[in-house]
Amino acid sequence: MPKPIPYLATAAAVALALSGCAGGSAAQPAPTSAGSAEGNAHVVKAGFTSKGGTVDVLMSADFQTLDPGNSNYVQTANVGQLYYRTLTMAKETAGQPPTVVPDLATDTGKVSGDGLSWTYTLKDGLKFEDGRPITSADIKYGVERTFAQDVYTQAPQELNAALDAKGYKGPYKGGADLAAVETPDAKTVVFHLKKPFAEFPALASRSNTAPVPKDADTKLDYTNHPVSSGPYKIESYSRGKSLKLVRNGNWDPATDANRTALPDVFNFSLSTAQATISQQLLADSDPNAITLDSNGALQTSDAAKLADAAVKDRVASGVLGCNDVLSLNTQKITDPQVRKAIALALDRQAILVQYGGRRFGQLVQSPLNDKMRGYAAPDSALDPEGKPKLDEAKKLLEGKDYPKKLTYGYANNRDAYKNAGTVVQQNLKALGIDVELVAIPAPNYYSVLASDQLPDMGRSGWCGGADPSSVRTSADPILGPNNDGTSYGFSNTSRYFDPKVSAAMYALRDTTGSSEDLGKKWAGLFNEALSTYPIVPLLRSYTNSVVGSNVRNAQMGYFFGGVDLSIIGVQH
Amino acid sequence: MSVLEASAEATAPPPAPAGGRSLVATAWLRIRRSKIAMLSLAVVVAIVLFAILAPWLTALSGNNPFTSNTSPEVLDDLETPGLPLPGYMFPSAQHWLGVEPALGRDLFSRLAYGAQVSLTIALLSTAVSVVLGTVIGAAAGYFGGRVDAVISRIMDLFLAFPHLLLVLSLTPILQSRLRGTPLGEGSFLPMASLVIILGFFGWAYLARIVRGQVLSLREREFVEAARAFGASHASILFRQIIPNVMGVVLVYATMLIPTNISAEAALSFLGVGVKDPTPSWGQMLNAAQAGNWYLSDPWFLAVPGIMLAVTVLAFNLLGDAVRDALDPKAARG
Repeated sequence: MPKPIPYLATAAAVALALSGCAGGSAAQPAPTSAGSAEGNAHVVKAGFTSKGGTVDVLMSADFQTLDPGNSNYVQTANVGQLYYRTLTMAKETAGQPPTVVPDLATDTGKVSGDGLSWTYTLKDGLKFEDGRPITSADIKYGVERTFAQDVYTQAPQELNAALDAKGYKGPYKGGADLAAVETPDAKTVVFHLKKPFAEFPALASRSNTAPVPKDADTKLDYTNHPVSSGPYKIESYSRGKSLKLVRNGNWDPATDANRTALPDVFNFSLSTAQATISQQLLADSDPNAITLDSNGALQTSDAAKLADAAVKDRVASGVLGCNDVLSLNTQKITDPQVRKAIALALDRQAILVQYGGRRFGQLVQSPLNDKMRGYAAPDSALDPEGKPKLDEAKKLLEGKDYPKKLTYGYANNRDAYKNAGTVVQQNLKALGIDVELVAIPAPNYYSVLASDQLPDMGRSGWCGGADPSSVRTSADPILGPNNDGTSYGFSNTSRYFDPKVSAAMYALRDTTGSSEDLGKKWAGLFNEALSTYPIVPLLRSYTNSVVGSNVRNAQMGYFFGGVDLSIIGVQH
Repeated sequence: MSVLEASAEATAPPPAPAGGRSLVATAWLRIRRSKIAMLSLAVVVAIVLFAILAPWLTALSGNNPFTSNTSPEVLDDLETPGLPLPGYMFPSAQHWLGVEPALGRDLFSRLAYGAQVSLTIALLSTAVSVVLGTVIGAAAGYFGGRVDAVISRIMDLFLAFPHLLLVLSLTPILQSRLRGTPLGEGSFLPMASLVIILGFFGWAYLARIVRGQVLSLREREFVEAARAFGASHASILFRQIIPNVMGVVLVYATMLIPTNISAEAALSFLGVGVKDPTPSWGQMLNAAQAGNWYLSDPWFLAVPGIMLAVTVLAFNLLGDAVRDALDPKAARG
């Protein structure tokens, strides 16, 4: 299932984030906090370096798009590593947030003294699949077309929002020129920003900076054959059926330290049912096969088979940047003490079991993770083992007038969400609160949460934010205020707004400083907000993906939530 | 003085002691003579008792259908997270039928309370269908002419619709309409909507049968006589005609109950019927299928599945027996 990259993972996509095996040995319990990330990942048969062979990628549906300028989807970002390159690149390491490394550019960017300009220099020897050199003009044109949101509705906007674009509307309307991106010569690209943005190198890794030759731009048809700047090119593509990638002879490995490009061919089949995919992979009926489907196309009870001797070594697994929280509607449950009582009454361990237990996630005390720069742990009253503290909860409610009837909304695409609601229902009965479970169609889930029909309680999934290692890009969308600081933000599903804390968050958005420093400040405010329990942190997601027995170097992308295609290999 | 009885007497006299017995007495005698009929009746009575006594039966083992237990002593949390450990998956002294995967609730309690829900829905929706079908069918047959033409076309329309699809698409709409009314309170909502939907779409077939019967009944002498005495239409319809089609209606009703039990299960299985935490057999089947639990815990699927199969079979056999017993032309055994 495709997943928009930014902020709130959509309900349909949250299926992506769901499994995980603790370390190499499946029987080993995972640590209860996001401890050593290395221990939370299993890379299948790493260290393979031989070129050649074919990888078969089984998928239940076609990619939303292959056009880098129109993609907000992690699946496209993953396969995109094979046929487009960007100025910088978010390089995956299983179990850890991606690191930003240079890709087309020689470094991750040079910032000017005032923090408002970032300069990139292209490497030598870069060519498109037709042999033409890749120039700064191609990078600029790639950025320009992502401003044409009337054409490309899914164009990623994080980079564009940071640029000083002055209302630029893309290259198609009057052929205007984007002044915020300068190309003083064929090898140099300069970005001009509205405000200083210390994490700009992460933004430069987004697919906006993939080079697009202006004369090859076929607008919405570009998805059928994006011009390759990476190690592979599209040989054939039949929408909804199949896609074949073969080597791009004009890609020079000397310019690219990030992609090993081991297989000769990638064959994608784009219409195999999920249940069939999971059975084929578990049975190893095609030893060259992998899948990019969410959660490795695995069904909940397939977890049982991941420990089988014939499967165990073929499971790529790892912790993801995704967290699940239970949002409490702070406009309905207004008293922080009542929200705390609800949080304390929850049996989070039982909720984890509904997700498939420790193989699919680990309990956390905060939706931020300790890999973020400036992270600080919250002072949480929740039991780290997830056990309810009923007496304490009842004491908090003594003599209080609190709502006796609450609704719990759940996306109807996954059994775990409903079952988690059943657990919540039972837990809150002990406090004298009746909970009604309300099913919400999965594709509408987050729009319902943002509407008047918002349930009193509901789970939200959060995946890392624009920069998975920055506190702000997670903390701000979860509990931050809106664009003018007057109310809760659009993705703030608990509708948390505190005059003091929210104002401080609003002011912090415009503050400059080192990312470590800003991270600390954001974490401090976030933890202050968290101490009033607008959300109850639940769990951090793992995911598993079974691969065929010939597949090598299969690592689970922390950000992609699927097998990382940039380093995969196949024994042949 | 029923017509059916009269014709039964006329066409094939019953065996020796039966002369002069009422329709019901004759039918009961025939049912008692059939081993299959008696066995199915016993099973049906047992299932109904099982449903009625659910609160007391579950109290015996100290369980209830709603309390979940996910502790690591009950559910595995390492190899196959959520799967009941062997001591809890299968029948034991504490859990007579084991526990559910994922939530660890007592299966016997859910089966017993589920019987209440499933049977209530089936019986109530059958009652709705039977009342609607009898009255509408009798009206069509009795009045004839334009009334008959209109009602018959409506019946054709109802019979022509693909039932399952219609019910699947209408249930959510009905449920959203019922919300906020007394019928839409909490767990009552899906039950009420199932009763209304199944009842409303089950009457057409019965109405057609009743109409055919009434077409011939209305020409009979006793109806003529009632008319001659100046009886009103309503009086003739409800006091003369409908009592004479009750045999057919009874047969149809006993056949409709198992159909509605299966329909409830099918709809709950497909997710538009009874919803967790309210148990019903269909909801239990749905839970077994969700997340493929039936692959690792087949017992979870077998419990409601077997119960459903036995119940539907028993009701069907009983329905057959009732039909045979009431059929004047059936061979006497």
